[in-house]
Amino acid sequence: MKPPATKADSFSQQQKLRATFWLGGLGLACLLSLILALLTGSISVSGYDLWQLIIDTLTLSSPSTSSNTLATTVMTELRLPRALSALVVGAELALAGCLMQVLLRNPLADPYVLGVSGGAAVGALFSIMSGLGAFWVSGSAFVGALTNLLLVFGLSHAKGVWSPSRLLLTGVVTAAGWGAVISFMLSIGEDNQLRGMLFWLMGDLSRASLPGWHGLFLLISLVISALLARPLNMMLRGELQAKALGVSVYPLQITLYLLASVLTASAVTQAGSVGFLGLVVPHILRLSLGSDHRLLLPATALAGACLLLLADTLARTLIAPQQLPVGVITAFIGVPVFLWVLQKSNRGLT
Amino acid sequence: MTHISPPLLSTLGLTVTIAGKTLCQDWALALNQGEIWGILGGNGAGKTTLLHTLAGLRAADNGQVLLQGIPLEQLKSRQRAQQLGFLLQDDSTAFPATVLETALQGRHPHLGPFAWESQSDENLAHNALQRVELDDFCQRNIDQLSGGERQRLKIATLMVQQPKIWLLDEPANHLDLHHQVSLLQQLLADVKQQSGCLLMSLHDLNLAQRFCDHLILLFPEGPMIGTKEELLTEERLEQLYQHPIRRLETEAGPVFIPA
Repeated sequence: MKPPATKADSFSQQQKLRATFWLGGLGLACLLSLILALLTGSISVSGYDLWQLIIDTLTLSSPSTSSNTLATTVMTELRLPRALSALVVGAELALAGCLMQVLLRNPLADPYVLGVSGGAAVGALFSIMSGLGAFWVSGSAFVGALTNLLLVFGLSHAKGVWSPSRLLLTGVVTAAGWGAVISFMLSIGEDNQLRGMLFWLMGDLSRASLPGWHGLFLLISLVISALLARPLNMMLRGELQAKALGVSVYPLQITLYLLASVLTASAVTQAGSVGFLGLVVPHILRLSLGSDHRLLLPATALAGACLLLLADTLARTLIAPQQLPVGVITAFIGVPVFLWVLQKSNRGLT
Repeated sequence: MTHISPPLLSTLGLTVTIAGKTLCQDWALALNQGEIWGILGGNGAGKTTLLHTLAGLRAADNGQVLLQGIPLEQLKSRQRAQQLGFLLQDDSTAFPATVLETALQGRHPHLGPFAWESQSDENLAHNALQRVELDDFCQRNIDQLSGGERQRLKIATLMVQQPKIWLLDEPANHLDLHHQVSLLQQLLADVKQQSGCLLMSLHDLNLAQRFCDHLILLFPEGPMIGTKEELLTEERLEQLYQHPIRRLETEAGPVFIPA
């Protein structure tokens, strides 16, 4: 039995403390994963090399004579862009999943449920089949994702009746349609392209470059989601209840749909369709942090970022020199962790 | 007209239809400060639809609903919710939340976009939970509450919202006899304290007799408005419910029973 909360330390005070604790902890975890990701790999880099690199960067001085140029190059040219991409993609997917779960009023929704990744995959696979370069693969993936966004939005609004369940059905069926196109493309693809296509479908960060505008977009999304956080809390109690408490429900739903879809589009453009992260991370945090989105949304983004970076570090070191697509690792970790948390929370309830 | 300020809630040429059925046509209603109104009608008579329209949760087919003289559609949702509170019939527990968190949601329309609840918001929530006798359940998850406890929590959330205009859809749902009476008394005290007005749909004629001063009877031909004394007669109620009803005079006041 917990002792009854004393009236002296107020609930919102406790909430803020909890938020600081969790967000600080998760931020630290991200930082540690980043250090780990920079240090591990087939070319060994020492902590001293990293320290030297940080000092040089901070003081804006040219690399000192004592620094190991190979190590510096490996870290800044190879590992850092990939690690930053992993952080951004992880945060985007987890955040999109969390938003999608509220929009669809279904705790089991994930960022891909409305077919964004399917549309992106068709675009990406088409580019791979046409033998186009990485830039075109990313570009056409983004175009595919946006096509799906407009298609599902338009179809679910046809005839003017609109509801989250209609959106869900439209999205799920559209996703199945993309699935059929993907199967078709895989079956006619040439053998030497199939591996690249499959890696894209599983989610792979080996082609990732510095996140650039994706990172900027993530930051903007985080600010928007902070604005949406309290209205989202109201939405959990049902659309009508949210309306009765002064939430403009329809504009909020449209914003949620667009934000979650574009976040997902941005993530799949960088890394292909990395699975499980967008379902598992928000769900685990919901079970352990409760459902106040003022804490949940930033915590989800940080946890997603940290987890994807760790998974990617594993993916490139586990059976090195061969690299695994990171989607394989997220699934391997995500499924048991999710089941474990679910079991644990069930025990807590009874 | 003795009222200088506009009525708290009024309608202008209001027409509401649902599924091809017209609930009211070109209808005028005015709720003034201090008035307690009841809506009576059989199943499917349109009590909920009418209440939702008056609260702006549903668009009217024609005409306007005015809050203190201002058309509802000219108000932002948040401004509306600062003045008008609504008790819904249904609630959702698909996502977890604690009792205290849910009660605090009543402060939402009064808080800025990035604000957190202050100590005084929290005191309001604790106070309301105490009044509905849920203060021991603050940290309990809402899916562990009984139907009646959830109803009391919804009422507490509304008390925390502190509106001027109170619209309640079957507030007595799921409540035991004691809580029906004690919570309606509490709500009426809040309405009085806010110098507000209240409109609630009820199935229990005796609660209507006890708490309301004005009534809306929803007949298939359209709504009938009047004072309690005019409308709570055997003849009218039999017509309304299509069922014989007896009015008995007791020392606790008149009592209605289905014959």
